[in-house]
Amino acid sequence: MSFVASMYNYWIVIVLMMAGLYILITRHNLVKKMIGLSIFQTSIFYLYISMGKVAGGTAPILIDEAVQYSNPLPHVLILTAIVVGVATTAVGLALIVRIHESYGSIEEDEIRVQEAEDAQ
Amino acid sequence: MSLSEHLPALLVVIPLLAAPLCVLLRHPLYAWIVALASSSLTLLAAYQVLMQVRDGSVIRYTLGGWSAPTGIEYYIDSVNATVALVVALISTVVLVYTRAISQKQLVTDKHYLLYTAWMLCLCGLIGIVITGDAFNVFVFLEISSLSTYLLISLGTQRNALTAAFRYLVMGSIGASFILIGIGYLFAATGTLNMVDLAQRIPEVQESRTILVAFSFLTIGLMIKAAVFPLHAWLANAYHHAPVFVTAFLAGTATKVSLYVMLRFFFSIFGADYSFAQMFLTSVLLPAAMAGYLLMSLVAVYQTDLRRMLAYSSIAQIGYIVAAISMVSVTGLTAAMVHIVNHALIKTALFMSVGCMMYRMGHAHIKSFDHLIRSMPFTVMAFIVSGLSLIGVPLTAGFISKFTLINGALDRGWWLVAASVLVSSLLATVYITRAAEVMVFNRNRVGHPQPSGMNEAPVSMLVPMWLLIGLSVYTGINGTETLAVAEQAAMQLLGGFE
Amino acid sequence: MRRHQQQRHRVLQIVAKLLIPYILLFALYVQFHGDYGPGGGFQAGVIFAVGFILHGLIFGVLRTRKVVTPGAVRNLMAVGVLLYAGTGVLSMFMGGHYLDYGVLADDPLRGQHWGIFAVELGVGITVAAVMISLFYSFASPRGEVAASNAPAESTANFGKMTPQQSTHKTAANNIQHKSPAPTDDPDFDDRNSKTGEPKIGEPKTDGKPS
Repeated sequence: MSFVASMYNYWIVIVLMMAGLYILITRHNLVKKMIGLSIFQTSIFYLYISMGKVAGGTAPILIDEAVQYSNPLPHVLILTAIVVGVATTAVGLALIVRIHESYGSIEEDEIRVQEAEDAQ
Repeated sequence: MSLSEHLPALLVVIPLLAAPLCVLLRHPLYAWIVALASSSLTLLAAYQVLMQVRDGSVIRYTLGGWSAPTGIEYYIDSVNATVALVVALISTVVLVYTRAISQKQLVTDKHYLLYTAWMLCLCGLIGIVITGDAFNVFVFLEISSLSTYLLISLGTQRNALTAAFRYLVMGSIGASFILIGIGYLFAATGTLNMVDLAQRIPEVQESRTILVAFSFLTIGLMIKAAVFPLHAWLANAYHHAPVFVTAFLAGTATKVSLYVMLRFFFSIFGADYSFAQMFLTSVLLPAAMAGYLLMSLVAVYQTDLRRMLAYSSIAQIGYIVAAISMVSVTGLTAAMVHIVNHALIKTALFMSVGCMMYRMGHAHIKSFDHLIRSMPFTVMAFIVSGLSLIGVPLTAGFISKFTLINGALDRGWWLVAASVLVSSLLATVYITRAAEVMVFNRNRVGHPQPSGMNEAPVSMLVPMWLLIGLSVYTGINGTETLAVAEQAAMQLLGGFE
Repeated sequence: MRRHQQQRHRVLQIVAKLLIPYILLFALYVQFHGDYGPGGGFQAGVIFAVGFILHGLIFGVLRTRKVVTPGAVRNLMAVGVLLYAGTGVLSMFMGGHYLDYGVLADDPLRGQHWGIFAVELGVGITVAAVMISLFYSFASPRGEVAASNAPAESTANFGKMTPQQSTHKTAANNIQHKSPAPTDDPDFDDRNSKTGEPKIGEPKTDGKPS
């Protein structure tokens, strides 16, 4: 039980990640797919940030007295990854807007029907 | 400090500077000139860098003057210098070609977007190749991927949008897997520098963290490189993207991912860990074999030239992965040679398809009846590079297939050697099927015959034939390419210095 | 009707007018105090953009587009990147490595200071411009019906209304006077924008071709 409790951050990551992937695979609505992708990516951010936490450590801002810092590097990395995630979401949504313009739908099965008609 | 010392940084910075300039200029012609100039400069820099590391030395360039494990560094040896040169070469050649066809296929006010995204993509691809920092790989991977989605969505048909969206979903999952893998590597070793990682992984390689990192990285890279069971995004993306974009991507994007694979499997984890302890061969080899056999077969049944070539690309990636899984100098040499040769060949093939589309407006094989009469240079280009794809002697494709089969026989893998031959036979079928229509006159009544010469513009033919000339040259005189590739293979197997 | 609407939003408008300068000021503080404390270009850029996004939500995107035109936003995006990359190149010419700020001034510490300052400014400009342009492209009324497979319409342009955009009620209200059946009921307006497509030939909501 303590194994489960002490690793709680990983459990959160796993649940979020699987929820995101599940939405991504099962939903046919493109916007919902993007939501799934975002949740999936967020779980990775959480993985990194919880990794950098040092028990009893504080924020790494310069203070004169010696204190224990949490590892700031994962935070910096994830700042970049968050920006990448925002960019991905923006590009994805922009594509969805244009797909809606062209197909009049954002439901994958309806789009597939039209694509099949296009191919003929 | 002389300029030559800064070449590694310039490789990435030149396209990065060109991208915003294209936005500011907005004029289609000026944006094209800026893009072409910066791509040519990158090509020049890549050539210089390759010459510097040709003797087996290594360039390590620290960004911002922060020394290696702390700061980000670029690590260049003959492996990535070769790949960078190929990427820059293909970008430059295809950019020359793009001017004429993009005017026909793309509205004027989108041209600057095309060149901006192109430059960002080039920046990302070169960055992935030359960086020596694992997290940097992810960042550059996303820069190139995001701009690739934009480039694909510029396609003329509305299918391009859905193709781009599906690629975005698959690509993001792949990149996220890579990010998780790098995260676990960092958790286990406390470093992101590749050289440092390679030193520290052996100390902790028994731990489950490294195992998880390795698995995530493998799957992520397989998605990005479109290795067989994870290839679904590629065919649609290559089919529906503008044909000049496909020509650029076919030669660069998947090749760069394959390079990252080589780097992680051999230099960072080490061949011993990846292949002896993790049994990677038993994962990669069946995937590769199924890939080239099935995908060549699927290519035979395609009615659209672009789709046919896209499936053929997946098959060719299968060859490269099979060569990687041999874990021998010959195998890795074959992988490196085929990365280079296939980039040249497939780009030339897509360029010839682009020429046909320029005149005909589509790429349906059936309607190219007797095309050789109106477009002799284009059809000849298709046939010559098609022969190279099959692997006929005196072409570049022959050299890579020969080395590949050699490597397989060295390992005693008769089945692999035989299946490569079968797959080549299938390639003969699909190339001949297309070429036959173009060359022979099967004049059906009621089919309007194109009369007289109706060749694509010179600005498209010249870059195409330049690439073909290059691949024919490497086919006839393969010693130089083989020497570079062999040195790269040795460096990969030897790990970091 | 237009006046009627404006009166209804009077409280919001006045509060926004009061808030926006402070938001921008705070963004500048986060930007330039980033050298000494928490902050920096990313955060400052987003906060700065929030000022304009708030303006867009309250006064309608069309008015915000007059304050900061999409063309200006696009150019600022490019300028930010150029500033960032240019600083790196400058440090290369001054004899250091790429992005080695230490060489930018005689005193390495001061050089670092200037380097970070310029780079973060570039980041801030780009982030702010990108956020504003994201808001523009998702919230803008899309006045023209896009032909399905014509390559003619451009990404940042205005096709027709999409369901996502109707959530921005104020934006939808603002173009209401152009829709065929004007009414004061905002809910009707919403339905209208969801189902009814703007007529072809309706005047473009923005004169600027983007």
